[in-house]
Amino acid sequence: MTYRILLLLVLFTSGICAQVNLHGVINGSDSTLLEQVNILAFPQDKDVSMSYATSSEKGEFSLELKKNMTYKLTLSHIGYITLNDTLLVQSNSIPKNFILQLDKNILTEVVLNYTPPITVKKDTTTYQVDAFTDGNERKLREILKKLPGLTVDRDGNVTSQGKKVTNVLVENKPFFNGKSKLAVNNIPADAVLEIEIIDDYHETAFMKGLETSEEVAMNINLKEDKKNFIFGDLEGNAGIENKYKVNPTIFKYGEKATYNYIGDLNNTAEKSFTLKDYIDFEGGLSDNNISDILNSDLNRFLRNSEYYNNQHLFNALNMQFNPNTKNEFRVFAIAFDDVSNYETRNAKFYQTENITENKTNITNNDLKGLLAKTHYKYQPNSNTEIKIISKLNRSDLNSDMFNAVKFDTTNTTYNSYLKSKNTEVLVSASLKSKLSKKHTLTFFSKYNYQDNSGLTQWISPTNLFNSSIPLDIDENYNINKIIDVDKNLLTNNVKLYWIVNNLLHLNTFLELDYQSSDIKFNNYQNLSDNSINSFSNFSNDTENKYLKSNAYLEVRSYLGDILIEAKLNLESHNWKSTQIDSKAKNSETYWLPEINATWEFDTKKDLKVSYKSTSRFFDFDNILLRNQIKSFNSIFYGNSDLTLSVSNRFSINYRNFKSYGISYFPSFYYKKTNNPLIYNRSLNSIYSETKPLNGINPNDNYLLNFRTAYSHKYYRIRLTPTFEIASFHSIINNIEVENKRDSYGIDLSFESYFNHPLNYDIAFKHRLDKNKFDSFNNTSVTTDMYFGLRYEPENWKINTSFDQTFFKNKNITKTSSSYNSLNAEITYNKAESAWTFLLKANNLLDSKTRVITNYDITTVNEQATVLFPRYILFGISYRL
Amino acid sequence: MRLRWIILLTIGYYFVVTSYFIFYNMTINNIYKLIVLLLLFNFSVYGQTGEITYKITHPEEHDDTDDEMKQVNNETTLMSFSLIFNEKGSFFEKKRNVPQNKYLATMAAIITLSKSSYFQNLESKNIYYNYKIGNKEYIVVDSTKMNSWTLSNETKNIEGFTCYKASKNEFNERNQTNYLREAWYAPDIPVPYGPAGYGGLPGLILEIEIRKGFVYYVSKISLNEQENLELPKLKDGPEISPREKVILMRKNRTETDD
Repeated sequence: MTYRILLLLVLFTSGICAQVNLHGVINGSDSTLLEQVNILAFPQDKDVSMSYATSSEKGEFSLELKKNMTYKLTLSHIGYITLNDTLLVQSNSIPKNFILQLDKNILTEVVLNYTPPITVKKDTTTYQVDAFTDGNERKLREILKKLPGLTVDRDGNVTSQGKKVTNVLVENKPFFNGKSKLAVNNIPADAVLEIEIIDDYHETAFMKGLETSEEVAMNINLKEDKKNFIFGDLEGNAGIENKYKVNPTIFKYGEKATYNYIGDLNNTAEKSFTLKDYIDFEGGLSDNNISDILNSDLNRFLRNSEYYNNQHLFNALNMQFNPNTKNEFRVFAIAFDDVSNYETRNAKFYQTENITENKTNITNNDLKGLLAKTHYKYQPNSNTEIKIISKLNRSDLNSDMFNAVKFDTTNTTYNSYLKSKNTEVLVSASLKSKLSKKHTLTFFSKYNYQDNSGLTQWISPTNLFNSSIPLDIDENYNINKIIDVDKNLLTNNVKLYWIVNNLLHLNTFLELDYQSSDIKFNNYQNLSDNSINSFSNFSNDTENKYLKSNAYLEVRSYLGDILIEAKLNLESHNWKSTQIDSKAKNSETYWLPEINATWEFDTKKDLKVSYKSTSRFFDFDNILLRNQIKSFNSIFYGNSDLTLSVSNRFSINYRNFKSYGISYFPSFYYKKTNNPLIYNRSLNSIYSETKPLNGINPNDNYLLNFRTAYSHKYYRIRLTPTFEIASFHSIINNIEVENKRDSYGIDLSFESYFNHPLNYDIAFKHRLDKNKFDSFNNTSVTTDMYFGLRYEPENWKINTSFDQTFFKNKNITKTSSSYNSLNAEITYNKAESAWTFLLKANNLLDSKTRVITNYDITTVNEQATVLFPRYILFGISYRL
Repeated sequence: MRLRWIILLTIGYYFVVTSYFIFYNMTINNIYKLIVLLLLFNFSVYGQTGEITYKITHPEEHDDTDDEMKQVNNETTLMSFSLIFNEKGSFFEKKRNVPQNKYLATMAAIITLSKSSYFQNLESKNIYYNYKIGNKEYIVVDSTKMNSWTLSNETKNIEGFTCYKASKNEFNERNQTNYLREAWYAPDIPVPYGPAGYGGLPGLILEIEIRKGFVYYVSKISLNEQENLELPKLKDGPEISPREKVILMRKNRTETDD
């Protein structure tokens, strides 16, 4: 009985397992027993798993295979030809031996030309919006809140399954600036057909720091008949002291083109169109445009906030047109009319003369400007990019100044006027082409035309002027200065990048820069009888030409662990100036090396040592002979014997960065300028005559800085001590004098990033400036404390900032002053409501003036600027 | 007491007898050979060395790929990697190259998991790499990269090498997400090594996708050129697992309970 059961069991179990053991010995054709032979058995039936074994020391192998299944066997071993066989395995017992043939062609080295095919796998989750909505939603954010797996925060940042949405596309094209906030808060809900979350972060930029994380893109497909829509914000503010602000921001999204309009009509201290908006109009920041943007007149205008009164009318329109994926066309136009009032009170001490001049200046500026720019980008293929830019800039400035001057026994007032017109046209084209895997070529060409003309008038009841000016006696003195500048500039450059190999890059660059400036000036007196007193030797008509050609060879290579980037620049400067009764010209050639060596200890720690020589061209203004009146008490006379100055810069920068914990960045910088452009000034009381020349003694600049930062998940602390020395020479009353400026400063700041609604920033700055001029010493000390608070509970945003500055001038005037600034802004916006209410307060403590010290080669000036007085605004904003 | 002695004697007897039979069956020459072989330190039938060069692809670019990403992709085209191995294990590192932009080249190294250099151990099937947290050097021991593959019979030919596909499911500690890792290996080169720490397959990995669109692929194979290929050494430090590494990194950021 038990026997039968056992037999049945044995048969039964063997039936279920139906596994067969395949075993044997593997020999090589040279009769060796082969160990570590790879044996792979692939079953014909794809549902059955494959088997794998390796042979033992004795060439023995054992494989568990499924009974009655055909297998394809592969036996491989290095040095032997791989054996393929097909087997139908039925029973255990018979061993199966194999012989592998010795491979006469011993594989030693093979280079492959293989590139894997690109598979585009985009995991996309699509939400059909109608399934989740009830039709009461106004904007996209309300729809997103109803979709499972998506979260939206108050500001409009979206996350999908915990991953951040960093790029928003509409109909597969970037939506304006691509940031999720703009799309989420503004796209009308009724236009949305479906939302795709694309788990393919390659389209997006990575976050700061060296940590990467998963990010996704969101694409919104619109309903067929809703592909054009308008959205935006209309904001209106009104306040005490007749303050107002009207600020509409309107966007139009269309299939063919998108438009963006920002308008601003206000008389407050703030400008609604900011640098950030300007950058968006320019299409974002890149290496090519960053210095143009920061140095532009528009940026300077936007940053200027020294006025105490302002009326501002500003219009900006931006249009983007993408007919197809290869072409991108952007146009923008900015037109503004700005009237502002400034008042400064100066106490200027003339060191060599031991005289103090007290001057109060009240200015009314009326600036009208127009800036229009077109950008065209064409990318016929992934290796080529062509950009064409054109720009038109026109501005008119009318300045009215009232001045009160007191020095010695003089105590008087005078008016001055400035009318200046500026026109600029620019066209540039650039080409970037990847010629091959190892070569890239860039080509750039720019033509620029500038026309500036200015008329300055000084009107004074008394002869307040520099005695060198040959004035005729009159009841009222009316002095005029006219300047006219016509410039044509043409720049062309070409650069070839060559990747020689992994460890060597060679780049060559060639540039031709041509400039032609026609400068005319004339200073004269308008007499009361309507005749003109032309000052002889106070006018000039000049034609100036300048050609700079330069070429450099750049080597980028690894020398051991150090990345070396070395450049040798050959510059040739040729200029010619034809003036009323003189001609001047010169040619100069310079070899200017540059070398950077970077030791990268690891990704967050490196040391960089640099040395660089650069040349600097004196501007044509400096070589114009004959007198120019710069102000009532100063005259300038050019020098056509000038040469370029060459600066040699040496710096060491160490970086030890930690995302969390203490990071430090010490740096040292030294610059020596040879043949610097210095000034020869003759002084008589407050009256001066200045002439430029090349100094024999070099200028020296030192800067030592030790920035340290502590980063925590919820806050950041920064401490930066700075030490700076600048020394240069001037010639004052024919005596060579050294100016030396020492600055010591320390900055300490704390910024919080808590999860809860309350966050604050604290900063402390202390700075000591020592100015040494010959035997005179002046020290000024500035201490600044700042406290900012952000409180954002539900529906509210409360921001307040308080800044307190203490200023002390030691030695000369011994003044102490302090000023503070208290500002607050409260915003209320109920979630998903189109209405936002705001309350803004500026300069709540009604601080009157702000004091700083300015230095000049012969003066120390304590300048008090009148601040924008206190006001409170109440505002409403409606989201279209 | 007596039983113990009998057992010991029996074992000893068998030892003597088998040794005698072994020696008896060998000629004098063979004895010498055996002694010599036993004395040689690096005794292995499997004395194979090699140096493999890999390159990497980047994802396809579209018109909305931003400039920074395009530059990161460009940096990957300048990169090459080396995998050297001997009979004990392998060493994988990114070869040094001059970047167009240093910061973006570092990002490219992080994306392609080549910021660290990996050691693979043949016997333990563990991978080892140095990692610095705070100011301390650690050795991360990962036992998952060379194990748990599912072999499939899907094949493809890479320039004469028949390759089979293997895949495994990976769990990312930091993101708490799953990823299906796929590799192509060639049994013709039966060494269990591959790029970025991946290996443990019945053949050298010739192609493996490290992140969407970034695929390591072999560009040069050089075998048995060097008799004694020495692998570099790991920097000393305490050994930690990948999970411990994530925990230590979090602690280093002084995070709170989350």
